[in-house]
Amino acid sequence: MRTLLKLAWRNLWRNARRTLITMASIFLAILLALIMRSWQLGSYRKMVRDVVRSYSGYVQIHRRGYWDNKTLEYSFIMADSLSLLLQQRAGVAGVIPRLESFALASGAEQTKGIMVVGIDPAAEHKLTALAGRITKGRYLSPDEPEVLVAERLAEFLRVTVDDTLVLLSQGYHGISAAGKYSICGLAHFASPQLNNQLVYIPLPVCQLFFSAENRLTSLAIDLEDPQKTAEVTAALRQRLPEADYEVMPWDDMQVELVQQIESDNAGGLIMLGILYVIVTFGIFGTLTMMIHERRREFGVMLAVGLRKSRLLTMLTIETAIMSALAIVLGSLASMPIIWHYTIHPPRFSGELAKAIENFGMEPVLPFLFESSVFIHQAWTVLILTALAAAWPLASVLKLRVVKALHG
Amino acid sequence: MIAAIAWRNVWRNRLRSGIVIAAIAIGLFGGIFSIAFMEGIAQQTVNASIALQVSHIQLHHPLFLDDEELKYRISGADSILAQLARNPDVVTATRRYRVRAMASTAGGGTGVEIIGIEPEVEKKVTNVWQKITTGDYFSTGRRNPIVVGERLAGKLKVKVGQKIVLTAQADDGTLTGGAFRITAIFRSDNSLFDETRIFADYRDLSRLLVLPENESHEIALLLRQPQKITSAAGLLASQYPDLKIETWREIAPDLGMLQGLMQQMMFMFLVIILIALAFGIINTMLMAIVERTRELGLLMALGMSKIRLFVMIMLETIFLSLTGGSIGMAVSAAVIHYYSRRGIDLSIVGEGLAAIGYAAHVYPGVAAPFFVILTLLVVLTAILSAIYPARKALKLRPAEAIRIE
Amino acid sequence: MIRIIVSLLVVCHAGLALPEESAREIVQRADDKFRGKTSRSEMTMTISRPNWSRTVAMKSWSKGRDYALVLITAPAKEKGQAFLKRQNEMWQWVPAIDRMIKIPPSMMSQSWMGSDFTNDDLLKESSILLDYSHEKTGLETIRGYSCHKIELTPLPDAAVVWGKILLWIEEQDYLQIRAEFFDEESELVHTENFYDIRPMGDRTIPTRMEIIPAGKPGHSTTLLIDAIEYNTSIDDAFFSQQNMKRVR
Repeated sequence: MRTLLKLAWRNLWRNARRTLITMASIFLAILLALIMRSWQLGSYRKMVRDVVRSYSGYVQIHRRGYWDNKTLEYSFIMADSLSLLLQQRAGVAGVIPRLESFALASGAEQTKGIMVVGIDPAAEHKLTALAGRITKGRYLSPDEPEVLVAERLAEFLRVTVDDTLVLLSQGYHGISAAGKYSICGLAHFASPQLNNQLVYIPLPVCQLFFSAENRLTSLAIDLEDPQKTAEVTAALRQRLPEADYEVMPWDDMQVELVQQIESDNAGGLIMLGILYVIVTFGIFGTLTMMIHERRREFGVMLAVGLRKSRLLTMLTIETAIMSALAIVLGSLASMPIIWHYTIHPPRFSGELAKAIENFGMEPVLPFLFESSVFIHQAWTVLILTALAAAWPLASVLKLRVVKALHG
Repeated sequence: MIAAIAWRNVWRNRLRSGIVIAAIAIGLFGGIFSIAFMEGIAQQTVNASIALQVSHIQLHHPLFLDDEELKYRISGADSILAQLARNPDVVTATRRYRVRAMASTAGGGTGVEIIGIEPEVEKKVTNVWQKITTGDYFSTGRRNPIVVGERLAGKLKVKVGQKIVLTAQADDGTLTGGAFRITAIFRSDNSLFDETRIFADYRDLSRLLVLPENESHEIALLLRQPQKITSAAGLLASQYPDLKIETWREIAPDLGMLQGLMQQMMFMFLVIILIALAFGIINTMLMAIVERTRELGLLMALGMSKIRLFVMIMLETIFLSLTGGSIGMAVSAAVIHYYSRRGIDLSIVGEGLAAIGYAAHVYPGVAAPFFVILTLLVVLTAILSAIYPARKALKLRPAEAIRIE
Repeated sequence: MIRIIVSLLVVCHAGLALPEESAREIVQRADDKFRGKTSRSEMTMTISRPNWSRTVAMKSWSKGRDYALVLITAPAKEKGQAFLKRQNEMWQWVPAIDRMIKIPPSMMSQSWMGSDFTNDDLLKESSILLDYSHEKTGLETIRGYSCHKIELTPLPDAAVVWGKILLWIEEQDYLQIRAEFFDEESELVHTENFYDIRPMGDRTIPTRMEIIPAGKPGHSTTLLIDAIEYNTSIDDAFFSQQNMKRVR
């Protein structure tokens, strides 16, 4: 075996140019596969991040039964013990309390059904960057009786900053809820639905309005590592009594997003598949040519007494070494490229960019820099190379020594 | 003369040529097919939405879209419809009333939008009638018939044959209600649509809310030639200066965005494919040159000038590319043509698609100019890829070359 | 001879001339009795749920079937709110925000003050006579009262959600004892029971009404009439938006 190894190594570097050409096709395969997959996965992560950060957070805690029955009757008391539990849990980047319900809002003449969301302005901003969406006026302060109104809603009600907004609803236990608030700012929201419906109000003011002192409808959780969603959900479910609380990860709450990603991923895999076919062919071509070119050399070796099986083994080792080297080099080469695009993602331009921005998303193409991507693609290309090499290597077995010697 | 030699060279080594041709053909096929596929998906989504709700062009009172109040009606809707019937660009046009109302049953109440339609004409413009799961579309015989979505029926706990009380504000501000009977339940792929829309006969609605029968809130139409939508819209805008004319892109901007996004992705994908192809060809040709060192050296020693050698190799590449290109084009065209009729069943890939409105069957399709451009690009790439190997060949020194084993 | 026959005929006719009252008449008389031409009352409504209950006190004025005004007198957070019904329109005055709100269709099926009544119920009280056909289906005794059992079937075009209503009205004094409301599949949706029949003002009426929604154990709304005066004179003008703000 050791002889074969040494032979293989020397063969490779005897004709460096040929070796490098062969390695180049494998090198390219892994480079392109990594770039493509990194871009695809980056997009999905971004989609999740965009949706999750626009409102729901990665995990939410509610009173049991709230999700199916979103009324104030299913609110829960914000206990200190709960808050402490959450702060202590590793990986929790933020805890965002909310009290939300339906209400009628009116300006001077018009009235409309809307969503009132009581928030902790600082915590909310850390999750959703709400303060950044302000188009006029200023952000909420923690307990002033003022409101932040969605743009289109303000337009419909014909109100603007410093006007008074009247809210009417039914609070906890059906107690009438009525209040007048000054509008401190207007904000723009991605989805037209939200832009037509949202009114943000400081949490204590909201709780007073709904006669729901110290109560919340949901606690949203921001995570340091979004990949740990399932873990954190499981851990919280263990710690919180099941009868009282429900803990929901974002994929339970945003079923449509999950489906969107699944379908995008399907399309992405098809594209990746096509790329694989093309590069495999490239590798196949190069290997075939290489074997063909060396047939005289093989003929000599066989004539001198090398067994075909050992020749095959030696060639397989050569191919293996080339693949391994090429894959490692390719991966290394791709790293600066992917890293660069992860930090400075390519931007869309023109109309498409504007349309995307209107939806509240950044018009960029995000990349993902993560070890799992590298490992997956490395394995895949290795397998592809093996597949591509199968026929050319097998053809060695069919060599007829005399013919080979004749070149 | 060189051409003839080049041609013979190509076919002399069938293995090598075969590989290069195959690489080009596969690359071309892969590129064209994936574009056709993505185009198909984007097109399906758009078409589904147009057929279900949006149609090609819609006309409204200019203030209706902001406020959706009962009073913002299109007057003289009857005559407009008659004119549209004579308009050669328009296949069919239909009129609708749209009213926000409360739907209540013994099992609950919820806000809805009542769409007062002309049932038979509406069938020619939108396809809700094809999505009916139980009951009959506006079977005559029932008073105040309505067609509701599955999700809404579930929410209100009613079935075909039962009634829903619809309460709305009439034109004079008073609250009016009426009992309507469900004649059919439909299920579209759009859950929001299912949950909030109730279709009623516009005459029944006019009667209930004291609305004039010759007016309407909305006129929607389908064009004979959807590509000419901008000019058609412009023409209508000049014909009816008092109304707001909108195309489906303006009504549903997210659909347009989807297409744009697909195109950008395609572009990036194409770049990557072309790079892969180029390298594949460069490598194979390089290998080929290396293999033909002796032969090339001989040619040079026999007096062939370097330029002629270069041209010969380039010609070989061109022939290879053209062959590969034609095969690729032919195969792509055949496969796409086949699937554009049958459609590809995507349900294997995931049921998630249906929920977001992607049709389960995708009909790949590529516009002819695209096809040609793509082919040219691939062939061009192939030819450019050959330059480096060809130049390498020129650097051979005849004496050394002959001596290579 | 002819005279005897004629007088016999007259007597027979006289005997037959007293027709049995129709179902509709029974319902009408019960309704008139409870409602009077006008009424002025003080009531307490208690909303009961498995985990909590709450009480609202109010004063109410009504005239015929088309006009009604309700003023909330307790608890403090809701004191001063007023509701006005004029035929087909309903208004709400909320002093805390200085607003007069016309109740839009979207609010109609919302519960009134958190109770098991909806805004729509309050508005549509009158429809029980107009929108249904009435049929007597016999006599039944409920809580010791012998009652006509009357089945109400909605008229084909009537804008009412029920499939069927059953009323039990006491024979002698036209007191409503119970009502049951069914959906179109004849499932019971809610029940109203009337208790504590006492003389109030110039008549005897049930002074406690309990609404029990079906399928929700522990849920009920109880309305107690603390005091009521019938047929005092109330101007139409009393039932106005301006008056909502003034009335005490």
